[in-house]
Order: sequence, then structure tokens, then C-alpha cells
Amino acid sequence: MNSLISSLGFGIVTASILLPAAVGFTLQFSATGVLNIAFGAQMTFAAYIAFICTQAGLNIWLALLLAGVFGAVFSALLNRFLLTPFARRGTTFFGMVVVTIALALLIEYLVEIIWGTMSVNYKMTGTGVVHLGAMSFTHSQLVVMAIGLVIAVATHSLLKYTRIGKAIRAVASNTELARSSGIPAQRITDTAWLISGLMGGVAGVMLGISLSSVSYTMGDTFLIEIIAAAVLGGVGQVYGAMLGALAIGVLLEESAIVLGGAYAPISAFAVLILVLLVRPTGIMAGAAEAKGIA
Amino acid sequence: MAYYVLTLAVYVVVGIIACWGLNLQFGDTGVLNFAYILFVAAGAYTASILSLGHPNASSYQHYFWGAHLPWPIPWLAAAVVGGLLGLLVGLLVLRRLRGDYQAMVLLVVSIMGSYIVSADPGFLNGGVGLALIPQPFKGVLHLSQVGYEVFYLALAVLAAVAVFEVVRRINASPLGRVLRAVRENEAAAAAVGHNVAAVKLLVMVIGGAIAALAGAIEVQFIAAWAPAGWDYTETFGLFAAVIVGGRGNLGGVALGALLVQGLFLEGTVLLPNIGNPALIGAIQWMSLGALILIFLYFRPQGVLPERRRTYSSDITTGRNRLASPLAALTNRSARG
Amino acid sequence: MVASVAVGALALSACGSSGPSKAASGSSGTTGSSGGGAGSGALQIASFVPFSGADASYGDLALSGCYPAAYLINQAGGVLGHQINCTTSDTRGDPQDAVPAANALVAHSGSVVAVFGPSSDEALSTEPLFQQAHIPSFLMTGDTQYDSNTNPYMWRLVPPDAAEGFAMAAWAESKGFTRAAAVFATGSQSQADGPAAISGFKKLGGQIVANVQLTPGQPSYSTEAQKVASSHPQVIFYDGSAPMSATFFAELKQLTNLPPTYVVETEEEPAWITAVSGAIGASSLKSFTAFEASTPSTSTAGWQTFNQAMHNAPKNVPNISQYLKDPFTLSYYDAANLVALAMVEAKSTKPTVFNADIMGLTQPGAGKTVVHDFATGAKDLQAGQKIQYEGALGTISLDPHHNIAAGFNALTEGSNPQVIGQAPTDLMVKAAG
Repeated sequence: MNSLISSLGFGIVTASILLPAAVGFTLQFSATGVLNIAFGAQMTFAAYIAFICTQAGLNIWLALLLAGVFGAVFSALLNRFLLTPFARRGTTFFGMVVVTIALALLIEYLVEIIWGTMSVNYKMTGTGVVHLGAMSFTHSQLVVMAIGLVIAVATHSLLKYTRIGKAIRAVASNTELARSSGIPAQRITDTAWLISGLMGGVAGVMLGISLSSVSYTMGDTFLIEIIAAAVLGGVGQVYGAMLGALAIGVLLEESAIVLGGAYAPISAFAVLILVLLVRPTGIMAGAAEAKGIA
Repeated sequence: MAYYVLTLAVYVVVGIIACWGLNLQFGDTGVLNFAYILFVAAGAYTASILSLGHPNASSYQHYFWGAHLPWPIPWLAAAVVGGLLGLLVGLLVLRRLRGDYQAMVLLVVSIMGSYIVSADPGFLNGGVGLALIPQPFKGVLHLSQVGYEVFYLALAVLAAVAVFEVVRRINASPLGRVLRAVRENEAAAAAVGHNVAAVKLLVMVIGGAIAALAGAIEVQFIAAWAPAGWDYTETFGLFAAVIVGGRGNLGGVALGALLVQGLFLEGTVLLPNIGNPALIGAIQWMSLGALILIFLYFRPQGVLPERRRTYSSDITTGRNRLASPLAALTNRSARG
Repeated sequence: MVASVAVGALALSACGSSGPSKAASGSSGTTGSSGGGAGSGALQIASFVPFSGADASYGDLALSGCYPAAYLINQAGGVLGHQINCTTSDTRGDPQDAVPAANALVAHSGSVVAVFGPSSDEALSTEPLFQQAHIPSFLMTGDTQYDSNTNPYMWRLVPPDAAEGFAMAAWAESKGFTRAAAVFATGSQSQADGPAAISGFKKLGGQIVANVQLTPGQPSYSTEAQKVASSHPQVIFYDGSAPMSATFFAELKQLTNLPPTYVVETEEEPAWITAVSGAIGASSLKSFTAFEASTPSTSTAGWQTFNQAMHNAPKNVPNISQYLKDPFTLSYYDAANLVALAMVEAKSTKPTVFNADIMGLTQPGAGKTVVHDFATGAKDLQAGQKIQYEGALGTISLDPHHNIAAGFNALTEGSNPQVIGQAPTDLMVKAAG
């Protein structure tokens, strides 16, 4: 029982990293309709940018912020100069998926060329441990969890209280309606890519901190967990993605206790598929169906 | 040298077969099967254990079950297993999930496959993979190495011709038009009475069987198979071939397999050696990415585009003709 | 796999080998076989191991031994008038890519006198191809199935994986530990040493209190670390890749007071040390003991010659300092010299002729002159003398299965490993039982 509780702690840490990633991924998807397979590669890129920053002597948390900004700018540029031109040419949904696959190859191997195949570490100081009952967290894990929480709240505020956030929500549920909101579609698309890049960049650094290492395939591997969380929550459902992140994060750790480490990822994904069989559009599907997008 | 050329020839034939299967799903029907490589792997493992014989406890290779069956049973069984896997995955993924969900879940399924094999070394020898897989008629024929390669190439070409006939006939049949109708506009196809889910399930089964056959041919040639070689990203290489060659055009797809995987990737080896050998690999993959982008932007139809067909007539007149795709397959008189 | 498959189709002129595979992206830089560099009449020693992907570091291990040896051999006038070239053939770490690479190599086997490799990633599928082609291969794998090898063309100057596992078990037993946790990554690397360490420790009367597998690429190994921590082992048997180990040990450190726990593991590369010490601090590595095949003292004439050649060779791998005591580097340096001397002794560059001479060159005998480098050995052989080669590894003792008999050193883990003892051979034998 104790080990199940302490695993819950670890699961929450993983979920805190998964949360910004899944929210960014799903928000951008819902606003633009582009399934971005390059998201993991973008995370990796940002994680290495933070590595450069720490090498230059910057504090890791400042590096995280800069990597987030880098991620946002990079993502916005990708949208403007690559994805939008394709969209203008009338590339279909499937075509756009293939475009992002190609993009993922480009970014991932660019990272490999620049930083090599060997993993690197962030320079970090102070790694005390805090015990909470059966759970224990390092200081950096506590910060990672705090960032996850802040991002959840910030996303909620953005969608609920800002004009652009409301417009994004509107586009996600109904494109026609969004047109009448008065915000140009291009601005919505730009903003969505910007936010997703920011979230991905931050999540990439959080992952690097949590893993205690940064390697060129890191984000690519993590993409599967992100997709699982997003799909579980209902694609395009921001709150669903948050729930999905929590569920996948905890499932991965708990099943490692019950079934053993080698089977943990398998069981987490098996649960995903089972849930989809029962609710084919994810746990937050109800809302989406009501809006008529499912 | 002849030996090397023959090896490449067999690989090209295997690649072409695999790309035809993928084209049936992606090019013709618009199903984005990101787990395609899993079907290739399933065929390879099936053919392996059906030719390796019963597992020997004292051996360094462990697998859950095996038999020593003569050719062509391992190939045919591989195709059957690939088809069944296609049915299973299709039922799981295609029937109730939306298109974008399907693509994502298939990607997850592909990864799960390699996790499952790697997790339990007793299942299919884990990360080390299976090796020393017997080759068909190797012991009986007493051919020279080159002679045997020629023989094997002939077997592979035979299989390729059979696969070509299957996909060509499907393309030319009313079913082919249904596939394209589903690809062009799912809602419209459904509106005129096509059972979209059943059509997709059918191409999952047929495409899965073709992928598995390709895997079986490959594995009995190289005599080894391990998870590192069927990473989910390998699927993207096949997609690139189909896109560059020309989705929907069988000749184009074959050309794509040859171009992308042959000339293009191997061509970078011709570049001056820039020191770090790993760099060349990275550049190859980046070039592959760039090639996909260039083609999708400037020539989305590929080198050899699909011949023009009028889909509207399918959709408007096909209402009661094609209630069942299986009926359509046999109903060849309905060709337009 | 298939994507990699058709690869190479029209590239006949390239004579490259395999195609790209994501897991092991990289080139097939068969520089020699494509005619680049190798002058006519030059002989090739082909390093046939991963040069890209997860095990890309194997490539430099093989080359770091080949380059200094080739330098000295060529400086001494080459072998029977032929220069020696170190060429590469990238297997990308998976059989699907390695088999065509091996076929390409065999197709050009005219000038290939030895293969350095294959590694455990591709040995099962490609070693038979080299055997068929009668090319001597010097394995870079500890796989157990080669322990009783009978093929005349297979040689292994690196220790078997299982022996490494037995060494770990024997060391733990000799320290009086009775409770051990086994932590091994899933995948090809640890499928041999893991089971050996576990069964060996049990045979020695120890208890395995936790047996944990680590799947590569996971966002966290906390729960696995938790399992290990809660079983309160006195010692941990470990083998895992660099990024995974950084994560696992950081999380283990969070849960336990890591330093008092004793970690016993296989010898690691510099990249591993950097990753893990970055994650848990260099001081935490003090409780780690690594095992590697015993290296000879650096005072032997053979090692001194090797050391000079490493520094003088005009072409070599980057960061040579990290290879100077690496048992793999030393093995491949000696392998190159043995092959060259065997050719001189047999007066032939044909493997079918000279391969049989390799064994004799390692064995002592009455009236034999002991030599420590190629130049002296070649001179003595040409003068009609019999020689025994003792190179960088010192005395090379091969069993009838062409496997080197290696003792295991226990080393500190760190950027400058120090030998702290030897795995007791009597206990190792008992563990292998």
C-alpha cells in the first residue's frame, strides 16, 4: 500500500510534465486542425536550448523560461513559414500530418547533428528531498509540480477570460461561429501555435530536469505519452488533456508497481485503448459532442 | 559484387510489396495506418517461428512456440496473421474512432507492439531478436551463394507479381472506386450508402496481409529480426516512398520505393566522407524530411500521378450497387 | 526493416551497405570498399559494428585499436608489401540493416583480411556470413552462445557477458553481501549478464530481494527505484544505458541514502560516467564498483608500444586518452597485430591460409621469441624464428573455442578509474556452476 502511495507521488510528477505538453498539443490541434507529430522534436530542441543556457551559467529556472520563449517563437515561425503555406495550398488533414512528420525528422536530426547522440545534463544546484507521508519529492520536482499547476490555472484563465482564449475555444467547437467573433482566423492560428510552442518548450525542459538527462530522442519518445493523454482526454479538449495527463502519469507509475517496469507502458496504453472502446472520443467527449464537433 | 546487387534487388522487391500494401490503405482509401511497420514485423516473426522449429530450452534463443514448416507455409501463414492482426486492430481502432483519433491510436499501437516484444525475452527473444532463421530450400538446392540469391529473388518477384495482381484488381474493380470515394469524401461516401467502416476494415486486413508477406520475405532472406529494426518511425520512410512515387499509382509507388529508399538515401553515401559516420545518417533522414516537404508542396501527386478518375459518378450513382464491399469485389461486371 | 530495406537500390556505384533505420541512424561508410582511400593492393581490416544509433560508441572502440596498429604495421613496411587500412562498415545496431552491410563487405572480401565485430546487436545474423566467407572475425560481443564456438574463423578477445555477471556475483559474495537487487535494462545488452549475475549470486547462497527491469525511454523510473529501495538490498547489480541510468540513479538517490548502497555494474564508457555523475554528483559514484576484463599493467613493453602508437598515429579517433586503458581498444590493437603477423608467418594474405596461424602466435613454446610489436615480430618471422606475441593485453591466452580467458578487475567508477581488486576466480567458477 505504501508503495502504491509513493508511486502516486511519482505519477503526479510525471503528470505535471505531461500536463503542459498535452495541453499545448491539444490546444493547437483544436484551434488549427493540424495534428503536430513534430511536437516531441520541438520539445527536445527547446530542452537543448535550455542546456546551452545553463552551460552559459544561467540558472535552470531562467533557462526554462528562455527555452519556453524559444519554443513559442520557433513554433510561431514554423506556422507562418511552413504550415500556413501548405494550408493555403489546400493540403488535406492527412497531408498536414505527413508535413509534420517530415518536420519532426528535420528537427530531430538537426538536434542530433548539433548536440550529438550522447546525453547531457543540466547543471543544477540544491537537490534536497521533502517527505510527505509515503511520498517524497526533490526540490526540483516540487518546482516542476508547481509549474504544472500554474500552467493549468493560466490555461484556464486564458480560455475563460481573454478575448483570444474565448476565440480559440470558439474555433475549437465551431469554426463558423469563430468567424463571427471578430478575431481574424490567422491571429487565432498564430496564437495557438505560439502557446503550443511555449508549453512544449517548458515541458521539454521539465522533462530534462525530471529525467536528469537530455537526449536527442527524448521528446520523440515522450510524444507517445502526450498523445495518449490527449486522446484519453478527448482530442481538442483542454481540460480533458489535463485529466488525461494525470491519468496517464499515475497509470504509468502504478502499473510499474503492480506489473513490473517492463510492462508499465504497455498497461497504460492498454487502458487507453479500453477507454476508447467504451468512450470513442475520450473521457471529456460529452462536451465536444454537444458542440457538434465529435 | 553480383551477390551484393542481388541482395539489393531482393530488398527493393520487398520494399515495393510493402509500399503497395501501404498504398492500398493510404493512397487509395486514405487510411493513415501509422502502425504499418507492426504488420511487417508480425509477418516476419510469424515466418520466423514457423521455420525455426520447436524452441530448444538449452538454446540461447527463446520464443514461445515454433514449428519447422516447408515453404510457402511460413509466407502464407504470415499473410494470414497479418490479415488477422489487421482485423483486430481495425475492429479496435477504425470502427468507432474518428479519423484523427485513429491515426494517433495507431501510432500508440505500433509502439506498444515493440514494448511487448522487448518486455518479455521468452516471447520472441526480446531485444536481441530472432536469428539463424532457415531459408526456404537452402539445404535441398545445393546452389552457390549467388545461385541461391537468384533463386530467392525469383521467389520474391513471384510474390510481388501475386501482390500486384491483387492490388491491381482491387483498383480496377468497383471496390476500388469505393475506396477512392471514401478517400475523397468520407461523409459523401457514407451518404450514398457505402459502409465506410467496413471498407476501411477490409483495407486494413488486405494491407496488413501484404505488409506481413513483405516481412516474411525479408526475414527469410536476412535470417534475423529484432525490434531495433521495426521502430515506429520506419513507417514514415514507407509513407515517403508512396508520396514521392505517386499515391494511388502502383507504378509510381514502386518507383517511389526505388527512388526514396534506394537512390536518394544511398546517394548520400556518395557524398564525401565528412568525418563522423553518424552525421551522414542524420543528413539522410533530414533529406528525407525535406524531400517529403518539397513533394507535398510542389508536386503533391508524386512523380507518377494517379490517373484521373471521376469520383463524382461513383458517389452519385453508386448508391445501391455497392452495399457490401465484398460483393463489390466479386461483382466485376459493374466496372465503369 | 522495410524502410531501410530497399535502401541502396540504385546505389550500386556507392557500394554502401545498409539503409537508415531510425533507431540507428547513420551512414554506411564503407570507405574502403567504395574505393576511397585504400590504395591498390592495400589490405582492409573492416570495423563492422554500429557507428550510429544507441550503440554508436562501439565504432570508435574498434577503430581506436585498429588505427595505432595499422600505423605501426605500415611504418614497418606493411604486410608482405601491402599497406593495412582500417575501414568502417556501419551496422546501425540492428540485424535488418547489418545483413546487407555484411553482404556488401563479403562482396568485396578480396582485400578484407579481418573483420572487427560484429557486436551483440547484429552478431547472430551476420557472424555466420563472415564464417561462410572465411573471413576471420573478432567479435565485440559477450553472447554466451560463442562460449563453445567451434568455427575456426571466429575469434573473441573480449570477455563473455555471462562471465561479467558471474564476476559481479562473485565480488558481492566476497564482500559478504547476502541481499542483492538486480536492475537490468530490457534489450540486447543486458539479456546475458543480468541472468548470470542473478543465477550466480543465488548459487553462491545469496538472495535476490528485488529483480527490476528498466524499459528504455520512460519519463520516469521512480517506481522501479522505489521497489529497489524498499527491498533494502546491500548491493545492486546493474546494467543500463547512459540516459536511463542518469534518471534511475537520480530517483534512487531521492529515495535512499544512495552512497551506503553498493552498486556493482559492468564497466561503463565515459559518456555514461558523465551522464550519471551529472545526475547524482561525482561523489555518489564512489559507491559504484565496475568490472572489466583485467587489463595488464601499463609497464609492459607491449602496452608502452601501443601507447606511443596511439599518440603518434596520424589518423585516430577523437579523445584518445579515454581509450588508452580500454580493454576493447587493447583487444583490437592486438587482434590487428595478430592478423598481420599471421600473414607474415603464413606468407599469404589469404585468410584460408593465415587464419590457422593466429592461435600459435599467442602460445608460448620452447625456442620461441617473445615479441611486443609487429616490426620485431615480422623481422623474426622472416628470419625463420618462431615467435609468441604479447601485446597491449600482455599474454593472450585463448581456449580451444578461440575465446580469451579473462580475469575481472574491480574498478572505481569515475573519469579516472582505479583498480581496487579482482573478482575471485574460485567464486566465479562456483557461480557459473
